[in-house]
Amino acid sequence: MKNNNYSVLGKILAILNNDFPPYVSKTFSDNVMKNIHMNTDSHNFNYKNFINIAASVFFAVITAYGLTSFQQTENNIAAQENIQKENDLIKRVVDDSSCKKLENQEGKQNDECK
Amino acid sequence: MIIKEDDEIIAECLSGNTDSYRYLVEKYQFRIINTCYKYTKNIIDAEDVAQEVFLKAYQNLSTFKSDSKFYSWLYRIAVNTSLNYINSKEKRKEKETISEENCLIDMNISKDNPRDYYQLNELINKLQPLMDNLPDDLRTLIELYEIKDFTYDEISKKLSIPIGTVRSRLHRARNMLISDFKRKNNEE
Repeated sequence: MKNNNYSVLGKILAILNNDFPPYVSKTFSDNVMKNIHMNTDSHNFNYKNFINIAASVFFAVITAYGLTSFQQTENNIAAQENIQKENDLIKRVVDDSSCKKLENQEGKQNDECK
Repeated sequence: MIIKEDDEIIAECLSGNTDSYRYLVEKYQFRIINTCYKYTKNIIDAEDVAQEVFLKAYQNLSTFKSDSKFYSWLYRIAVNTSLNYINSKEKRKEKETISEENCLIDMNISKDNPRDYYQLNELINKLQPLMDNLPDDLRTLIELYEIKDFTYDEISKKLSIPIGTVRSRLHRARNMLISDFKRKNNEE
């Protein structure tokens, strides 16, 4: 992107205005641009770092939430299975008393109640 | 030959093209370094301060208002930065010692590395004939805009010509000067 027309124009303007120093380093503009690029890059680096950290935190939160809700679902299923078993037992007890009634009344043992 | 206006270059920089800023640096480096040199009194410090000036200007480019000239804005930054530099130097109480050291460095530069430095005083005599060769209307425009610091609007009113004509004639005058100057100094 070098175009020495601007440097020549700069010299002309400086001479026309009688506004120039005794010496100017030929690498001055290169040094300025290097400095600017370094600053821009470090700014971009900080920005990229921030984005990376934010993304990591976001995924960590999402993963933690996912794991917690999965565990809760597992617990709910296990609890539901226990409740189901308990209900079956209660049912059996209820059914068993009705069998006893039948036994007393008819003196026979119902096959279903064995 | 394309020489862009300052406001075009600034727009390019603001849209993310950092490299365009080099054009502004190359155009104004001599005058800004000289401004700093008037305060620091040695060329090494002047270049350091001028670097800071261009960096500050780049970082604050979005705050520049295009109703004033870019050079005027840059000049104000250069003066403030130079004053800050002098104040901080005085606070450190090293002023005299550093000045002496840098005067020695200045002498070394002039003796040892003339090829690494621009020396514009050699070119003064070459520029005047080029100015004299310019057509009268173009020379007047260069004098008004670049030396007397008139704005396009002021020149347009003074010479009773449209702003567009002022811009295009100035562009032509600059191009003529640059190509003649390069021819005379064998610059590519």
